[in-house]
Amino acid sequence: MRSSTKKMSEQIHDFYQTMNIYVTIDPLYRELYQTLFTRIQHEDKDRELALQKRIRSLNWVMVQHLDVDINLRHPQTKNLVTEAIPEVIEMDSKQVPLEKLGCIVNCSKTIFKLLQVNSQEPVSADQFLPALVLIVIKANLPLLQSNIKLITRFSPPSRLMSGEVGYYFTNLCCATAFIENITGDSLNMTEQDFQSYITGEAQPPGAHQQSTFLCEAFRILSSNMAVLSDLNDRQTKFETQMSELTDIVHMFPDDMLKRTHNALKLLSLTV
Amino acid sequence: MSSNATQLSQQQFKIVLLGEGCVGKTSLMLRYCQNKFTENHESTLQASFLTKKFIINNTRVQLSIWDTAGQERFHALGPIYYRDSNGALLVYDITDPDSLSKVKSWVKELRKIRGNNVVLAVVGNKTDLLSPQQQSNGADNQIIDEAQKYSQSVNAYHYCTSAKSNRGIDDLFLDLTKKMLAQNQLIQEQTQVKSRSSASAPNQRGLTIAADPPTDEEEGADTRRNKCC
Repeated sequence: MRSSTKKMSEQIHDFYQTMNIYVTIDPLYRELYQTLFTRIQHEDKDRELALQKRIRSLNWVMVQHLDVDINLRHPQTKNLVTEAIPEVIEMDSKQVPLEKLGCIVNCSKTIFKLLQVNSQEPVSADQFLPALVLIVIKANLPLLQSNIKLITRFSPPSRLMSGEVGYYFTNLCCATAFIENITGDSLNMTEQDFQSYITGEAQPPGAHQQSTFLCEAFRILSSNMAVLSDLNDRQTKFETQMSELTDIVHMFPDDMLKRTHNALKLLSLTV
Repeated sequence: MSSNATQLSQQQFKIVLLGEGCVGKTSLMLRYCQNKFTENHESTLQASFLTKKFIINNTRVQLSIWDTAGQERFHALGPIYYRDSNGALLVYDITDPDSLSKVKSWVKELRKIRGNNVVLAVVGNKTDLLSPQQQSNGADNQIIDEAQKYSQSVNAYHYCTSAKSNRGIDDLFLDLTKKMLAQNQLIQEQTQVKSRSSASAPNQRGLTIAADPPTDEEEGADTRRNKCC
């Protein structure tokens, strides 16, 4: 009797496990994924295109427009920015909503690290959301709208509405909504300036500087420049110390002679 | 609440935290969830999403506290955060009248979107900035007076806290949880009443039990709080 219960429990566990695999990494879902996703894409094609266009036209947005407290010149910050962008882009390549959500969580965690490079304080939503907006703009991830829609439709609502994952997902939705409705006012500038930047007629001051930080070659160039200027500083410091040393060496014989004379004088007096 | 069931029932609540930049909402949240207040909180990576679990009235409660971006430019995003929230903490700085007017606009929005399904708590933070006299005299502060009157007029609860000296925070969350539990019960009863044409006796009993004690406590709690600030 006992063995049969044991057997039964094993069987039940097996059943749960296989079901778990089928449900979480459902091959059926994977098979359907392309069809589903294409459908979703078609539903709101115009909106998706508009969003993508908008994000592309916003590529000049800088840290100071959103009052994000990060210093892109800091090497660690730069690395974390380059880490966060592919993390959120990866979302599009995943199929299961849970995996997509995982990418959002990873990206959010990197953003927290990013915001803590300069300050040790824990990151509040006041800092997190603008940083996420910036990353979403810089990443310009493909099919953002459709991905959000897919996650919303094929995840249990409890997962999206509560819990940490839900929080990060909600923030991504907020960032997307913010970008869709962005105006000059929300970026600390006049509507006129905003329009001229968005149409590409003009570039905000310092845009060139920032874009150099986001281009790999320029980043290497600038880091090399920093290394060179550091070397240069050390070289000049070394030279001044050299000349100081030479002066001391030149002075040494005279100084020594003087001292011996003094010593001799003292000696003669005592003798 | 008065059930004889041996097993604890479970409840999850989502609380949104609203407040302008410098009202100290992050400190408030950290103080409650981790009992920390330092000039620079080390080791904590983020303070935008925190949870707290405890048992109250035979119910296992999990609060998830969602911090929201308080800047004006993100104001329009509020409704996305409010979705499915059970409670809202609207924090203002008792030394800054502007932060209170911000609270009023959030209250309007929350009521518009969540109706009476959300329990609102207006929180005056930074009572440690009041002079010792003011602290002992009770609500002497004009801003606090105004906030109290306003809270009553919109069916919200008013609290005074200090994250720095850890005053009133535990009470605030405990009280809010009790009110959310009562609210939940009420909603459940209402839906049950709606679904069944005639409510049975135990249901009615449950309804009165759920609705009565909090009102008593609320008066008691309010007088206590008046003394504290």
